[in-house]
Amino acid sequence: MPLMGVDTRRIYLITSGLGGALAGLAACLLVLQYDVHPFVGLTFGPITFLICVLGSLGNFGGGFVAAFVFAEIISVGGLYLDLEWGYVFAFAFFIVMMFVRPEGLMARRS
Amino acid sequence: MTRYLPWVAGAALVALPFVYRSPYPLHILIVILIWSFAYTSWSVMGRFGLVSLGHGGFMGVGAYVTALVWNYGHLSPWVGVPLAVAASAALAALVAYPCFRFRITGHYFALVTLALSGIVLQVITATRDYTGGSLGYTPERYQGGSSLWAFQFSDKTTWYLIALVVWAAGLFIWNRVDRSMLRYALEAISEDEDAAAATGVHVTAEKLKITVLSATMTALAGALYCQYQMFISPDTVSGISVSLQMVFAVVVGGIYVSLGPTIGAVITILLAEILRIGFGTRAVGWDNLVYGVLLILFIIFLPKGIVGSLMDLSRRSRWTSS
Repeated sequence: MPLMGVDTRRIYLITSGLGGALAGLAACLLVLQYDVHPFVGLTFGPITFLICVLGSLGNFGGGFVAAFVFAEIISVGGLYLDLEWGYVFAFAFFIVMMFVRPEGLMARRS
Repeated sequence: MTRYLPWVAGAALVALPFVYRSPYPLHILIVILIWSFAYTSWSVMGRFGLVSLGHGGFMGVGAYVTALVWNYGHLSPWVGVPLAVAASAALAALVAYPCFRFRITGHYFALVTLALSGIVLQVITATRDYTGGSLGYTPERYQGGSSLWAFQFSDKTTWYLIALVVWAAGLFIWNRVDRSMLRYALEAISEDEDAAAATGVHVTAEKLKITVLSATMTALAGALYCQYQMFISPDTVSGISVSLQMVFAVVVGGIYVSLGPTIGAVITILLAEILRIGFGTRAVGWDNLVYGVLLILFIIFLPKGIVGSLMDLSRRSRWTSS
């Protein structure tokens, strides 16, 4: 990449900064729904990562669909049983989906 | 001289509690030994590029099954610990086999195991009627206080010796794997799975072997932790935070050397303890901040870990001197 005139360091800096900024924006919106405590980031971090992979990395629409599916599993599971069981089902769903479609829900066929 | 060094160090470690009996440092040593064993069991597979974030789950299963069998089944930990270890190994095989069969490697393997430790944590929390949920759980005390049958000892020296033996066994297993054919097979696999398979390595079976071994050891560490502390909570023995704690400590210590995880445990636990005592209640949370910053610095500037970097340094100086 550097050989093609791309300043890799600059690109990495910009993407990391943008990623952080967007996560911050998402957090601002989440505050409307959730309470805030020092460990609040820890509860979202792993799930965010799982959702991105579930919806295929780098696929915006896939991420949206995966987030929707994940949230529904957690909420509906939490409605009928405890909220924790909702998470259990969501994680189990993720594992099974990785076995069935490792490339994610919305992968483009190459 | 260097040939006798491990034996001298071992003898010194065994003799230590008979000479020095201060309870608090002894407690720290026992905790360090138990976690060292857990970290060693992670690095047994972690060093082959099989980054598992599910070890928090395996440890949680080890701890909770032991405690539940003792409280509800009224069976001795001598039965409960093998049961816990078997449960953990079965769980590891159940998740790892399809992973390896469908060739889920690298980041994807880490994420599948991450989800696994999330599941274990949530199941423990959800079954709070039996496991106490996030409030934690205590195995019932045996009337006499100390008993071999109940595997409960009020004396710290006994615990120190038990932890020492288990830790030494962990190092022994690490070294056995290091010298086995399994190691060469797994190194080939971590370089290139197709090439390894082409040379006759049974990729799935070899990976499964090391994963189950690692999970077994981790579950034992969890059971030991439970029996020593007599209190387990989902956050201290299971879940994603414990998995990450293992990875951090091993990376800080050095992933490719047998003593690396131990040094990692010594540094991270001592650091956390010193910061906790140093800052005290004056600044709650500052210890975590310093700890986090130091971890970042370690990972950026010493990617081979402390022991690994030191060994590189000594090797380089030997070359220049000869």
